[in-house]
Amino acid sequence: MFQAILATSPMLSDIQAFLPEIYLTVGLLLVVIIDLLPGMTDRRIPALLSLVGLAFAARVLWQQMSGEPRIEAFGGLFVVDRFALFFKLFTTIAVTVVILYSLAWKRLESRMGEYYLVLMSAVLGIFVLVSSQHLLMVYIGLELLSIPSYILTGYFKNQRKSSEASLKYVIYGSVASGTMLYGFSLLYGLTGTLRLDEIGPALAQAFSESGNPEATALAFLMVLAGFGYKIAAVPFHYWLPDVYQGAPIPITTFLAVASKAAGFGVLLRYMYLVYGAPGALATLSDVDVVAWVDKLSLLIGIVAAVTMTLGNLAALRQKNVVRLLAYSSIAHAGYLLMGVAVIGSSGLEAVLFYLVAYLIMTLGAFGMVIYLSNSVKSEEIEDFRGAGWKAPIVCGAFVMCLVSLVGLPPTAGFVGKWMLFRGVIESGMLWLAVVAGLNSAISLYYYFRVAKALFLEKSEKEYTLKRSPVMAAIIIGLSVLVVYYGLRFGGLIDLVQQANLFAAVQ
Amino acid sequence: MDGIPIHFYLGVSALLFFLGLVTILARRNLVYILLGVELILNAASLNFVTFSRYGGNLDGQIVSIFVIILAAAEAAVALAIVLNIYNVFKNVDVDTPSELKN
Repeated sequence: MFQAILATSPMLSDIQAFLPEIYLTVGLLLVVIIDLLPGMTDRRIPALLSLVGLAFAARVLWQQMSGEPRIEAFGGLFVVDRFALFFKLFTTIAVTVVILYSLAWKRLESRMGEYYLVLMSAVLGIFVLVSSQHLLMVYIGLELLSIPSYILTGYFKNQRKSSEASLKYVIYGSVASGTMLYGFSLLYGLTGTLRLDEIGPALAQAFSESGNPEATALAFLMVLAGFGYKIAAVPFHYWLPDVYQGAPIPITTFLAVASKAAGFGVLLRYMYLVYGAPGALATLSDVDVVAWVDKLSLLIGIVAAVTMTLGNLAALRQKNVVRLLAYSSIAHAGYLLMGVAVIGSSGLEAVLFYLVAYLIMTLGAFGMVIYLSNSVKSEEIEDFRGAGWKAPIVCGAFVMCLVSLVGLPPTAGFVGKWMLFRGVIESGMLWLAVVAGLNSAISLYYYFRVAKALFLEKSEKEYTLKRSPVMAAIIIGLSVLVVYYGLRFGGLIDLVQQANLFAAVQ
Repeated sequence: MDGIPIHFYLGVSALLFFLGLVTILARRNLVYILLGVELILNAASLNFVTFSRYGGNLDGQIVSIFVIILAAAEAAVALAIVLNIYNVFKNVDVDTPSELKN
């Protein structure tokens, strides 16, 4: 009924576009109120409320997915298109699993109201971020995602590691977002507008009239610092291993999947609207501009190559499995950046497809860490020895996720990597594909070191593995999905093509 | 104000930005590092207001108000984290917490 009233009034159509965010906000406010009520000691209630909020939001997102392809709300500040909906549904799924992980993880036993409140506000930040079409909205969305992330990282405030991780995160994060804001101010000065869709043409015009490549390059690099920090591209990656290791593992999962995907979402939209949209820089036939955009593409390609190489080489010598997965997530940011370097349709589709594969396999890998660390009380690889034979099906499923992380067939990771490789080769960056191929070979070693510890080595300590049917079901389900999308990827490719920003224009 | 050329304002803001960056890199005390972050944000704010004054639309002024609000929120969380660091490590030096390493 609520929606019917909204639909009849054109004045309120903006609100209707904003409905998923409103449901999330109502959900998180209910979490606050319920948490304050006396006698609310069951720690599952706030989680349940958050899940209900997410479910309502997902229902509206699903309706919007089959509605109009593009709605602009609040005077163009906020845009609901397939691209934004893709990332919002992606985040909804990721956060649902993160909440289930939080319930299953034994070390999160204390007062839980704030935890879900802060987690849900970070989700709200992602929703705003991926829908924003205005520099101010990008900044607000990024802060709305970052500030709760700092709090969640330091959630165990008496633990030294958790406190240290949140400190490192907040310092790196605030410097990066400040630098990005300075870049935004330069862009505003160059173009006189804050709307992303107007910045592109205005920048192109300024370029062809006066040609101020230095200022544009400076602004671009400063903005890239902010996005680069969010996706942890070299040289803005220093915070990531420490933060991932120190944070509660469900939060590490959230940062690795949802937060990183949101960073890629906003980076892609920014790249597209400023450099790829009609009338924007990359569409000019001016020789100088073409050379400039080529240089930009090359720069991102180099960042991608360095990021994946550094991530993989550093992962080789890790003994802690969370830290290993942290470096592996840096490497995957490098693979994904290959698609961003191809400023075009094929690159964007490859990034979106690979993000879905990355979502499934990373959730599976972190799920297994939670499953094992509940029993072993440690995240060191050597403590996981021999666990494979105690729970062969779940550990087998985990190995399937690792196979996908390496990028071997028949998994979704393989198809995603294939699309990324095709994109960069088609745009003439063969060297980047070679680097990525070598990197995949390196990554085989350290992923299989974990699998070897599970199945081929004997445990020194005697312990019993605690059964957790919910966690086992999630991990097995994820590994089935990894193989399913590795074999039948047509449906997913259709979805990705719908979400393609470039296709919406042509 | 109109008598002052725009690059004076931009110069001050660039100076603020670099002072902030130097503070963050050179100082070991966490409170100073947070002050450096504030300098960077204020430099960006000053840029927005300047471009707004000389560029002819008010968007930049509005952004600067939002930046002030968000900077306050960020500073609140950052100071809470620093306070927590003091409680845990009995120190507000940036080098003291160093348990997370390879």
